[in-house]
Amino acid sequence: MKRGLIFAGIILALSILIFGLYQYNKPHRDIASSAADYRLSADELFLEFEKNRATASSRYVDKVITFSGIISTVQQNQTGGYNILLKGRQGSVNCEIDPTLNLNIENLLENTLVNVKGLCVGYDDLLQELQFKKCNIMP
Amino acid sequence: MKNLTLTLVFSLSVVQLSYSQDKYFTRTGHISFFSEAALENIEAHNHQGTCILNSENGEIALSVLMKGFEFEKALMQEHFNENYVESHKYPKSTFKGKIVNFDRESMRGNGKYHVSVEGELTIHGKTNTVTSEGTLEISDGTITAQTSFPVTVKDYNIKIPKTVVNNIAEVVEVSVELELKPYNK
Repeated sequence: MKRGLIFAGIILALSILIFGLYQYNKPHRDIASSAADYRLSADELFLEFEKNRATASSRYVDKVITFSGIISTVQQNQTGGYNILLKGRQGSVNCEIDPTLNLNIENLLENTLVNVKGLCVGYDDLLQELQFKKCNIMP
Repeated sequence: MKNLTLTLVFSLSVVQLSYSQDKYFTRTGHISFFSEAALENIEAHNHQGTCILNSENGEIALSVLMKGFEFEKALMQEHFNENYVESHKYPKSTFKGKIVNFDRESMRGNGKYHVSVEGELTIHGKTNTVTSEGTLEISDGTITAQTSFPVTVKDYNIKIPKTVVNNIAEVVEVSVELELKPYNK
């Protein structure tokens, strides 16, 4: 009986430890292989944020969104990654490309239409832009 | 007379030109922070910091969305957003201030300068006056700005539970690297 209890205790402690270790090392959200929660144009998206910042934020922030827009600039950031900027009629969308994807950024041309899938970070007042991270270029 | 008009038009257009060149900006600012504690070191990076620098008077505005910070471990990122900075309530951090030893003339040509910056830093909905030392490097129309400064987390009402005092530093080092280009809008 006593041995049984000790054994159960050890099993419990081990499972807590394993669970803890798993939690500690759990992987980041895999945006590239998750399905989009929303699909719309960069303009439509921007318009919703202009209309009501709070409502749009609670609906879209932290969600995977596929959106389309016209490339305004492709820019390399200070750590070697790329940000592409989509310019709509209402404002711009700053898309930080997922650095693990090895996309052929050089093939992206300014003033062409692209579909981007990424994680919505939020709205920046200073430059009035929407921000997305972990972005991938979709066909 | 004709010459005078020409000179006038010319000088006016020069004024126009310098007016349109008085702001520099970036939307790909690299903001990072580093916490060194007994059990582990934690760092996070954001590559979408936005900044506007007025090269006429040295005023600076900076903004960064908290959700944009990427951590090595997903769990740290989750705790940072949900428990510490509460990014659903306080989505961004901002800095508004100016270069204290600003010299307008130094903005005209290439060079590297030491600068002192003073202003209001807002994190987690709490604003404090801060000062920081940094450098500005002007090179062919691009201004590269760099600074780092300590942030004491309790000054911004961020509570670190007793159970993780060995995992998270009380003072976190924040680094800012900006590559500013002329702003034409």
